[in-house]
Amino acid sequence: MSEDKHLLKLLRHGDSNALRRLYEKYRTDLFTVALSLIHDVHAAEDCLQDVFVRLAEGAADMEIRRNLKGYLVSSVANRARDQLRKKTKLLDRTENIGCSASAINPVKVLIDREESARVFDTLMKLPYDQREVFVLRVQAGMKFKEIAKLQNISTRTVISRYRYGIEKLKVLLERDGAK
Amino acid sequence: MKSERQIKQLAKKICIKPDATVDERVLARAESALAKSTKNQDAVQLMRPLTWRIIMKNPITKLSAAAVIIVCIALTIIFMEKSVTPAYSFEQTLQAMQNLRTMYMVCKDWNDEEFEIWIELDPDTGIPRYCRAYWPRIKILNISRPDTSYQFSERANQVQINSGQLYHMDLAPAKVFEQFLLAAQENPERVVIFHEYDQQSKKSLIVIITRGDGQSYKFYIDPDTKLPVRVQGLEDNTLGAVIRDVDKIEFNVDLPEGIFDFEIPQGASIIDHNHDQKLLNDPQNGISTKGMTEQQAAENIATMYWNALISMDKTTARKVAPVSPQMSDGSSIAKLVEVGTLYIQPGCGIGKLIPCRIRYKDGSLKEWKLIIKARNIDGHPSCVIAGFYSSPVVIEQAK
Repeated sequence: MSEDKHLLKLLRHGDSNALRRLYEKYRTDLFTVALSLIHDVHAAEDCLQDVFVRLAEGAADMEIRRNLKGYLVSSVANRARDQLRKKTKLLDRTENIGCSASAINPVKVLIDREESARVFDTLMKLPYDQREVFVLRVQAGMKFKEIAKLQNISTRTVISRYRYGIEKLKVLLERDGAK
Repeated sequence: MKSERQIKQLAKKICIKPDATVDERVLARAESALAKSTKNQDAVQLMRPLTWRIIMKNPITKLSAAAVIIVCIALTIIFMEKSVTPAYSFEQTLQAMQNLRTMYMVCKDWNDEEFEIWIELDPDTGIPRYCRAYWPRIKILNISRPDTSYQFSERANQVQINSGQLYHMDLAPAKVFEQFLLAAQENPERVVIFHEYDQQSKKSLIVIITRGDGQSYKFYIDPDTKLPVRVQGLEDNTLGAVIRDVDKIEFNVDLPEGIFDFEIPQGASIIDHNHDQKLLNDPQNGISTKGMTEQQAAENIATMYWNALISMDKTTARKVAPVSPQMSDGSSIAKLVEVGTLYIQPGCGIGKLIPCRIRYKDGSLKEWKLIIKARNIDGHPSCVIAGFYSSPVVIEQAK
């Protein structure tokens, strides 16, 4: 039995140590994904909290068929979208959604690698659909097929969003680097 | 320029840890939720047999309990569906609408009159080819076909025959949705998406509210098929669309045989609408638009028309608008205040619309929309006013 399955089993019986272990294991990855998607520290924190509270509430009835990390990342992505909708009441297609300087700036101090920080900032300039695919694929390591299932769209659409996202990132990074 | 590989490597290096205070807060909330959940589970295990017995003793309690159970199930479904509902985008609905062949709808028009529509869509364009609309209470039947269309009033025993289709773009679901998508891209703040539990289908539907100038709608989308199951018009009909609400939609239904056939009943009086078409296509009517942009042409013909009405010049009025019986003279009009910008209205397949603001002698200000039909007769570009689109909108009341 994998560590995650074992921890989930313990969690079903109310073991708070199992909950702590799962949180320790995945908090950084999930927070990074949330922040990359919404670029708002407080909203990302809320996402993280929601996901773990739900995990704790629903552990008894939960049956994870695939890997737990995939499930948690999907939950973060869904909540990130909810957060954006709540905040802006906008359609998910909106470009540069929630992109305000005050929301992004605190993040900068958290990233110590300048080059990566540039990629992080530039991500915000991608349309949300492309950003989500890129983040889930590259940062969370999800397969295109898994992302397609999560977003309920075809794998082809996911791949094409990913391609567009990469191409746009290349151009934006080049343009910003030239300034 | 950075390669894809470099970008990916840099992105992978992004690693952001939450603050220690956040860790504490999240863990405290999650642990509390875990404790409650475990406690509730235990309580449920203990209480279940006892509660069940009490419920069963009394028929009224039984009913109330059933209601409670239903509510609980409903809440669970909302909770579960919300927690797992994948991201939704307009394209998914557009994609789902790609392969539609037929449709059946139960609708309400803007007079709150119920009617049903059967549609056969063109597989290539998604635009209705055949359509049958029937208003049971007022006994009106419309049959729209590519060659000839009929509008039959059973009460008056009268048939109006038209060449070509009656319904075109207004009933092309994918096209209409595409328009909303474009509008949403331009004005995202006018679109709201949320979930709503639907008692009828027992599903948490995706609800989209699109607000536009004169066309605000609420769409209920089935999360599984991504197709709309209901549509509601949210404001006054200022654009002349036929449908206000769609209470029921079925896609790819089997059409009853001969549903689009029509035989003129014996003794029915016939109005030949083709006469209007002849007038609209007559090169003697309308104005030449050579060297003009569409906007200039539309402004010119609209100005000519209103001025002709105001000055009681019926000859010019008939020449530029040969089929506009709605306003035969302009004695009540004070002046033409403004001519707006030409635009495409999805519900109008005849031509583009140009809004005109008219001041009346009683002080009121109304906005009319003229349908501008562009023509090219033997290589000569021209245009004609093909009528009014919908009723005028009152901008300012009479003094």
